[in-house]
Amino acid sequence: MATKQRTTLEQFWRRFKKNRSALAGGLIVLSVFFMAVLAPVLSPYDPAYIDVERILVGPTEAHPLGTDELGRDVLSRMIWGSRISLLVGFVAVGILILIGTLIGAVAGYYGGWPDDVLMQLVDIMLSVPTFFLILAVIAFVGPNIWNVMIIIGATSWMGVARFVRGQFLALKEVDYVTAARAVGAKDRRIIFFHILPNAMSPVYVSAVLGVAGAILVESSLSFLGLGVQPPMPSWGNIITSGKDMIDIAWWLTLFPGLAILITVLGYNLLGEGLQDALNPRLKG
Amino acid sequence: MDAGLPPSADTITTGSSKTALLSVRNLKKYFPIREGLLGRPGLRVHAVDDVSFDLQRGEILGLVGESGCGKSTTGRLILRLLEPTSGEVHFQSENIFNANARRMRALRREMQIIFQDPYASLNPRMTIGATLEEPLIIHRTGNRNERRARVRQLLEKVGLDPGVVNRYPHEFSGGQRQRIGVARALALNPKLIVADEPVSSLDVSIQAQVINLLEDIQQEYALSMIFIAHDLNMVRHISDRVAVMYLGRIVELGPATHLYREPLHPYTEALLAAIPIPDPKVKRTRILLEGDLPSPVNLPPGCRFYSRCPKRIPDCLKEDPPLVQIRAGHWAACILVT
Repeated sequence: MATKQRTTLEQFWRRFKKNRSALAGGLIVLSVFFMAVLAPVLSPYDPAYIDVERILVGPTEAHPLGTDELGRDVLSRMIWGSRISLLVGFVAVGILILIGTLIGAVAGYYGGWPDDVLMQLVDIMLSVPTFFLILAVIAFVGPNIWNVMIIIGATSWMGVARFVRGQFLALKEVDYVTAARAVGAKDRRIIFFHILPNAMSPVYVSAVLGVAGAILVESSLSFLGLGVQPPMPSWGNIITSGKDMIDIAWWLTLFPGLAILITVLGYNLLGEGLQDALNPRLKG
Repeated sequence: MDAGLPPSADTITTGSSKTALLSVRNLKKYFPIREGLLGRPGLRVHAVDDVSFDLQRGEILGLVGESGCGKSTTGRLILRLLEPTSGEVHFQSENIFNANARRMRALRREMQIIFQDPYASLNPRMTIGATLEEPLIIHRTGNRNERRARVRQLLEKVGLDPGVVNRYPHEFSGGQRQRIGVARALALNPKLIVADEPVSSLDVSIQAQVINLLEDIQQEYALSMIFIAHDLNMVRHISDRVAVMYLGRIVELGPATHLYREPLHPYTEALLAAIPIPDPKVKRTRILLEGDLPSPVNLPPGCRFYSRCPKRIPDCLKEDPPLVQIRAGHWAACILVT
């Protein structure tokens, strides 16, 4: 597998490493990833430990990012909160890639009425303001993290579907696909062995950018109290509890806010870097 | 517009049509380019417009014409990689357009294609071994070890090192890739190969090697082959017979030896005059084709070559001349020679 696309991979890496902001994005993404994985090791306190003697203490040596209204360590809560962001990002994106690829592949490969119907569906979905749709559905099915991930995934696959459809439209006419048909390959073999592996590179970019979007939506939902429920910490709900005390405990909103900003920025920089490295001709 | 009666089965072949491996009859393919509005018929490109010919076992037929004349479309229709607008293709006396999906898959063992562009014809994510083994897997040929052995044998047959099975297409040159394409076409031991401009995109130095390879395997396996090219010179030596296409129709068809020596159709004459002679002392009258290629969407009445024909006369506009046998096995569609 590693040698599969060796020279193409080398070319990709050569272009990618020239792009400093993409490298910075990659570094941020990796840091957040390890922070989430190593949360039990890295966090100085139990994120749920309530210390009534130290309520709303500002940044000190013992609590670098201060404590909250129950005396819990903000740094520890943020480190554990990164797990939520990561989980939501990856699961939601996994779902949206799955739905988008399936719909795009069927529409692009078969054309005709399936294409018409599915692309109408895409247009309809795009015309709905996604965030309000998510809010409405969450209000209906109840706020918990799994619902949030599924709904984010189920409402943001349209871009991927269009990409994949376009790739299928172009690739189904390519000679090696015709060759597969000429030796008697069935549709399933042609789709999975010949078209899909060659259609996925723009999807990788959407996936990385999609993680940024999903993290942002999850934070917004948690902020509104419709996402991750306390006492489980998430960057969004730490800000919520801090917003009423912004004048006396600024650290409760500033640090999780920065964490969201930097993480989303990291995924966006990485995504754009990937885009440039995968499709150098598109670079403006 | 009347196209004239198409040649019937027993007149267009050099032998008896019963023994022909392939019989193409009145084949037509029109591509819609605009949807019809309110029930009116839309515009259609007449890519292949009433083509008939036979191919004997072990015969190589050169199919020549300029780009856009429908030669590649004809090749793909013969393999049913496209569905025709009308017409029939009989392979071993069976109309392949009547075959169901299952029967068609079985027929595909017998008929294969080689593509023009060796950079587009191999899946960049599949190893050479996987590409060559795929036809054998689809047709459930042998067990894994037998298939692997067959792949190595195919690679040797086309002059490549059998050790390359784990490599990817981007590691090969154009000529090597084209050899891999030939090996894939041979994998199922077909009876018919359609070679769609197999050397047109190769360096001149490589072209001869690939043509020789095709000639060798044709002889070894007694293959029938349709060799598509855009230049008469390229098919001269390899072809037993040559068909010249112009705007979706065969305008001349005959044994290669006759056709090059005494071309009957003015278009063939012009194509032959365009072949450079590698001797600066030889002076030759060149025939320059003037005028525009008529649109294959709106064909004018009469002969479709009229607008560019150096020998045109007013009578040419009266009807679209049918393909008529002028000499034994030598056919032409031109009123000047009938």
